[in-house]
Amino acid sequence: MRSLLLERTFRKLFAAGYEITSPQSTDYNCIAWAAHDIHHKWWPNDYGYWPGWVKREETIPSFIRAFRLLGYRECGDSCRQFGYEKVAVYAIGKAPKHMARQLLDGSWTSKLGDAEDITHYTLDAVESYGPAPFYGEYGAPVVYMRRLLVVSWVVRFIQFVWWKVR
Amino acid sequence: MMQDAATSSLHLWLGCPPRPRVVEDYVRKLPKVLRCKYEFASSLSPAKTTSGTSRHKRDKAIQNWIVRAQFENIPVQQSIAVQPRPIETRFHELADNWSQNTWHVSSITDLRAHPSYKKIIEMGWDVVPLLLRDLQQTHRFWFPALSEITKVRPFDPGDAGNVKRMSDAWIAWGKKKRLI
Repeated sequence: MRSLLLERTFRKLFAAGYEITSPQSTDYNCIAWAAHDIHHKWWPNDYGYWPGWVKREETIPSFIRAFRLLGYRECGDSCRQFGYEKVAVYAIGKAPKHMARQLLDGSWTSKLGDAEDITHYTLDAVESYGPAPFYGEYGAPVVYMRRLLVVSWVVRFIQFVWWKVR
Repeated sequence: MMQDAATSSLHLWLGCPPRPRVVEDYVRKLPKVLRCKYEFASSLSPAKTTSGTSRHKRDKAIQNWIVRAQFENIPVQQSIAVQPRPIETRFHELADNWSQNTWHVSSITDLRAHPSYKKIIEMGWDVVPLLLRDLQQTHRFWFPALSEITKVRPFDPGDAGNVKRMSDAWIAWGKKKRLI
């Protein structure tokens, strides 16, 4: 399924190839989607969810610290590695803007704001720059993190139980 | 140019300033009757008028002038202040503009920084019932705007990021305050 609105906003999307994989939702955002959470909007300020013991500041180190708690560690590239799950942090300058998560087949999945989840085959498909003050631009991937798939299953189970209890 | 320079030097020599040149204005003037009435009406400004009688006179003169101008098909919009649009229309315009421009944005800071969002916040308390009604219907991210206007945060800090719980808390608050 194609969306002209998506293609008009992200100019590289059509050329890179993509697929819409969910209906629109306002319940969660791209950071939550990268963390396998569909119940919260993650953002390090007063109106978003952020892991309690990580300082709420809109910086790349704060994002790294939050994802380290989920078992991720920084790595050098976005290549697919057997037995690992990767995430990429998009930023403009020092301000984080978006996150994407790698699927088992090496493609990437992103939640686009309040719109749909998409699977895109390259990371640069949702890369975007524009004139200041960058309303809605995602910038480019600047940090890659990975975790073992086994760790991923354990963490996701703990997250599931935690949210059920809450 | 030469003449101007010569005249100015002559005036300097004589020690008196040159006469100011009268500039013709080519603005089309209103008919005499209308202009007089308008001038009379505008001369009685609210600052000058204190008594009820003179205020009444001024209002009547303005009304007469408007009626006459409309009758004679004179464009009155140029001189009369444009009526402000109802707050609901303005809110919906701004909210739609904000949604159209930020549907793909994940950063809450960027959502708040959009000019339309800021304008909605600047509208103040009048817009709170509209925000709550919109939140009830569309679940758009009005939480920062509501908090900034009302200086209240009715939801539990642990529920931050949970859109459904935050919405419920705000709607309950609105009902308690009889805003919706």
